[in-house]
Amino acid sequence: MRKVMLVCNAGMSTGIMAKKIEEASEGTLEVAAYGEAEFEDHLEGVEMILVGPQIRYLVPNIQAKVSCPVDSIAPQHYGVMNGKAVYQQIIDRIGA
Amino acid sequence: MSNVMDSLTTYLEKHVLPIANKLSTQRHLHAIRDAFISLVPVTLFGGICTILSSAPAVEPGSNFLLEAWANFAAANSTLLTWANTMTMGALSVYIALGVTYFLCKHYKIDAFIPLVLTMGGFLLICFGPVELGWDAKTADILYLDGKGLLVAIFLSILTVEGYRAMREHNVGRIALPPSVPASLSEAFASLVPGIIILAVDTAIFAIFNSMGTTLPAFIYTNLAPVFNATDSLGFAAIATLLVQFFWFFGVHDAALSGVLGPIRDGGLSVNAAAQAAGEALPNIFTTPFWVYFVVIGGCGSVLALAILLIRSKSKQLRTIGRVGIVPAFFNISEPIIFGVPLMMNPMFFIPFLLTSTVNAIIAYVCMMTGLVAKTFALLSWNMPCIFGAYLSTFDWKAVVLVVALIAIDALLYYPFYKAYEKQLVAQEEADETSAETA
Repeated sequence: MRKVMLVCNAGMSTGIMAKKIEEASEGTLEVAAYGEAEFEDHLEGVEMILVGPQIRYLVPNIQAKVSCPVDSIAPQHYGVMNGKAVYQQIIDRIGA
Repeated sequence: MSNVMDSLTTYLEKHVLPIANKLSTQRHLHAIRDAFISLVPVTLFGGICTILSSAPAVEPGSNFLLEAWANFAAANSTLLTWANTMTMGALSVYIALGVTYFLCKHYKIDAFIPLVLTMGGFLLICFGPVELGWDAKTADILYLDGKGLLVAIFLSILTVEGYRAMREHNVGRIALPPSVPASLSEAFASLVPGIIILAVDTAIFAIFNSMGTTLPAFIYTNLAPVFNATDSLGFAAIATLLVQFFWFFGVHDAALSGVLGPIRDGGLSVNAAAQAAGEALPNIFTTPFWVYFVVIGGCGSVLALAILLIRSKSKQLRTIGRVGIVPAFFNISEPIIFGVPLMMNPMFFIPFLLTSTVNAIIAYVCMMTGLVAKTFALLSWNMPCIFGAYLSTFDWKAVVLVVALIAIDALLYYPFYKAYEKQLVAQEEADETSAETA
């Protein structure tokens, strides 16, 4: 299973999103949500990082710390917790 | 009109994002914020102890459970008070350690020696010696709670910065032969910087001791007007407005909580200590005040809006209402803010800024006039407001207040929500007809 990480302020609302993405991936992705204070401790094996829109201004800072691709989640997908759309975004970036 | 608003919000976003980035990545503010976030076990444990010790007064024989609780609280009052005093009531100690740790993490230096030095400095500066006899030592621990917070924060920042600067410039580094193990030469490298820092701390103690006071006592008495200013109606309203302004751009208020966190948690810690001592609570603008009475349903006070949304005529809004109402109940507002969206939506600019601010003003006035009891405990910011309001105040009127605030928020959102809904319904109908004709 491939690993993807979601980052938001406390890992709280991205926690809901993580489940939705895992469902949409039908078991091909392992998605974990972390707070911005702790994400650096859990980077091992992570192929992509998605940032919650509420801290999208941190994308450049996070990108500077990691070697995998970093994207922010579109607010309209985040709002309705559209796991499918975000799954598609991940696949487009790192391949199926 | 809407085009002007659109370009204005886009223009503002371009300027708000860099500010949010600067504020939230500033290393000291960042360390302070992380320290506060990480102390949940301490504040929660202290909060539970305070609640357990605050049994309501009951007539004998009226309610078996309440009576048993009152007896338990009376029999264990020292235990419960001590447990709270040394956890929530010693907030400054934990914050000093937290800020030191996270700042070291930022600089990627080993945190152990700086933690020891911060602790040493804290004991030297924030404790007041009363009697230092051979068989009995007594110290004054009055400033372990929120009143010592300012000193705790500055002490830990200065300790880490001083330590780092001295290590970088090899101050007092003793050249050891290469045969000496690395761990040992590390220990020697921190020897002189450590001694210098502790000597400075001791000098600070000496200065204030000669004036018959301690640094935190001196600051707290002389800066009292500043502390009072952060617990005022005006400050509460402006702080709320500012947080909402950031959120309007869909930007998390983490950018501000490096400053607001210490004020809110400090106020709570002082209140918890007062509650444990059976005295009147001094502060209104505390963390539970914020999470249970101001941002009801998360920032934007979206719980009221979520309730409106689940019965919306617009399919889109109804869906978002259903997705967002449960998180909103637990004070997570992101689904509603990004889904409706409220973020950068000119239609909602006014109610989005107004609802939380109105909540802050009304709740502040209610507590200032004594209509509703002030807060002294925080269980979790995720606890639904109506429960949180009761458990943080032990006043049933607080629950009435929260319900009233939700109704007021709904009234404030209603006209703007209706206008927006009308737009969406028209759009949805147009889409349907075009789909049919296609």
